[in-house]
Amino acid sequence: MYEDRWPQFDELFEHAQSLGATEQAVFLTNECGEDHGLRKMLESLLGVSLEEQDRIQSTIDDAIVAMSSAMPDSTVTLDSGLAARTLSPMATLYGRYQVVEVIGEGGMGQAFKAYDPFFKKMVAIKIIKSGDEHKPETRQRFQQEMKLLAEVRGHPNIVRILNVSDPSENTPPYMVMEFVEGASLKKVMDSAQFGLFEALRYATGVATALEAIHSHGIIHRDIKPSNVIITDTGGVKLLDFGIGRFMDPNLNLFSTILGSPGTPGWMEPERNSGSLGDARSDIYVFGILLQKMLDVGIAQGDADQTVQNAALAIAEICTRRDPEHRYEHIRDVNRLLNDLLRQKGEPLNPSLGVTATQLSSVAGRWTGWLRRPTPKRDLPNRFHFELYVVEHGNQSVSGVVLYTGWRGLKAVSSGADVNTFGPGGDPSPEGSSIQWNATFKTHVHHGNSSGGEQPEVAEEYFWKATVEIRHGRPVMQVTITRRSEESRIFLKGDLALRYPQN
Amino acid sequence: MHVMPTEPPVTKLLNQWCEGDEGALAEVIPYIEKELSRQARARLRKNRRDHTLQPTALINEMWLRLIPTPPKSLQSKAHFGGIAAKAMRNVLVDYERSRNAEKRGGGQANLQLDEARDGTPPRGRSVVDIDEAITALAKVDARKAEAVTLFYFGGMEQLEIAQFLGLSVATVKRDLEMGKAWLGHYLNPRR
Repeated sequence: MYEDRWPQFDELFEHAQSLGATEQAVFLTNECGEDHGLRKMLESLLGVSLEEQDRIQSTIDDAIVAMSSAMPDSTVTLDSGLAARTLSPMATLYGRYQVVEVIGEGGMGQAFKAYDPFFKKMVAIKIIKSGDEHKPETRQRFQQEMKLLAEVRGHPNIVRILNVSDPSENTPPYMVMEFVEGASLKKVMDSAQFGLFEALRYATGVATALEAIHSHGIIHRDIKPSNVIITDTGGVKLLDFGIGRFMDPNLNLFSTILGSPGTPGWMEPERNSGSLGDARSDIYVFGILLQKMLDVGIAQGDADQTVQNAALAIAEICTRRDPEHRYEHIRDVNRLLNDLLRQKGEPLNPSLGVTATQLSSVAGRWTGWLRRPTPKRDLPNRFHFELYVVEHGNQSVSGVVLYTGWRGLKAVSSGADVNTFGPGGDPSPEGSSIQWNATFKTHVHHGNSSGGEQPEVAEEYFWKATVEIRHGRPVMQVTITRRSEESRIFLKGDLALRYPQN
Repeated sequence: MHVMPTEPPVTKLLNQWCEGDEGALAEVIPYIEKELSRQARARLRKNRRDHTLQPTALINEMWLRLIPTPPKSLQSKAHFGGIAAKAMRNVLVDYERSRNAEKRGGGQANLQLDEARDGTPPRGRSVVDIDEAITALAKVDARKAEAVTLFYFGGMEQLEIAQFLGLSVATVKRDLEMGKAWLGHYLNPRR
């Protein structure tokens, strides 16, 4: 329609429009001349009646009416149950919170982002999934989550609960929590853009949260990346306590054993056999999480080998099939990870302690066999030690000790321990050796597959070590005595420095 | 004159929302609801239909389109009204298309018969057609297309449209005259 001559067309119409009938005809004859097409077009447009124009309006109005009649009224009435799709941003919940948008559906609930005009803050509101709000078990679980969150309220690594529904009221229960700005750990891991030390940092954040939870006698039971948020300021927060429960020393809780919910790929092996689980179940799943994060972090490439290996060793121990062989307390795991973190991401100085005459540090990876001075029958007589020593700025060191006792070719006991070694002893006057002493406790785990009732023995071991250069290589001479038998040397031998090499 | 007096706090909040402040959005929601409601309700009233009808669903759908992508900037509440008008157009078109898709599944034709002057069934009986017509107009004259959108879907008066588009009222008047005629012709072309 005269697109190429639009401005003129426009002007012609505009002028013609303002004329009376006869004048219009004259005008058109003058302007259009021989161009019958143009005249026709103008006449068509001029001939569009007001009725036709109004008809357009009424069509639209009819459509609005049709839509308003067909779709149910979407005001929020909680008593009749909520459908997230119709929860509109216009809704004000509980007379206070202004809904902004739906943020997700979890195991048993829906979550909304809302604004609290009273504190002028964003909040997350969780309610039971519509349709489920009448099932007693759902209600119970929901209230359980509320209690758990209230129990650990205020912890920096756990989402903060701000307000809850009044349990005496008959309305569907709800929880109001702080809204955490950030990305889920799942997303962060998928983007695969963090290094080993970030991985450790995130892991310690989760471990700290778990430590707090366990210390309140709660196990979480649903640890996975989508339940962890990395905040915009780099913090770590645990969300969603949906299936956590209080540990009952009598192990006779109401909570279902069969069909105990969880997330595929994120459950400890013993759950299949109906175990209600304890803190070690959380440790297992934490280990998986740690493993996956380490995979991402290590793939970045520039991580320190010693720290890598130590971290992987920790993850391996967390994820052992037999709960008895795992770390017993998440706080131990947390301490270990923190020790590794304090290395601050600087690769161990390869020149540390490894000159011909000067020794300044014991940091690194040491391996070797330590033996009983007098062999005993029926017991392992040599233990393979792998010692990852990490140095700290204040001249103390800590590390992971992995040990395995062998009878023949079979490992009969193994474990790993958290250790903080005291300040290094005095370097000898010539600087040719370092002596240091350490005390650490460990639980002895007997690795018999019969799973018999070997009693656990808590033991304290005293290490005395001298690091020196022998034949140009650093060697750590170790003697270990036990508190239970202080006068006798339990194990002795040499460990060699594997890394850093000189 | 249907011009809403510009209340500075609301404009400020709207702009904060455009900059990504969701708290501002939440605070301004009640004002926006009034504005959207006014437009929608005006239609229902005009139609002298059932006064108990609530355009809530319509407004919700409009809102759901607006929330994820706030407009780049807003100068005034009238400005917001304009954006709302476009949102309403999208909502109604989508709604009708989805209803048509359902109907087609049942084998029903989309045409509605009317007395045609020359035998061809006139278009203009469906929002989808109107949308098509406006889109066609936009290719030739985007300003007029906007004006008619604001007029028909936003229920805006000439002065409001002028404010939104930054034009004089006289220009808007002319744009509407031509635009409406153009649409009418497109939807029901004479031989």
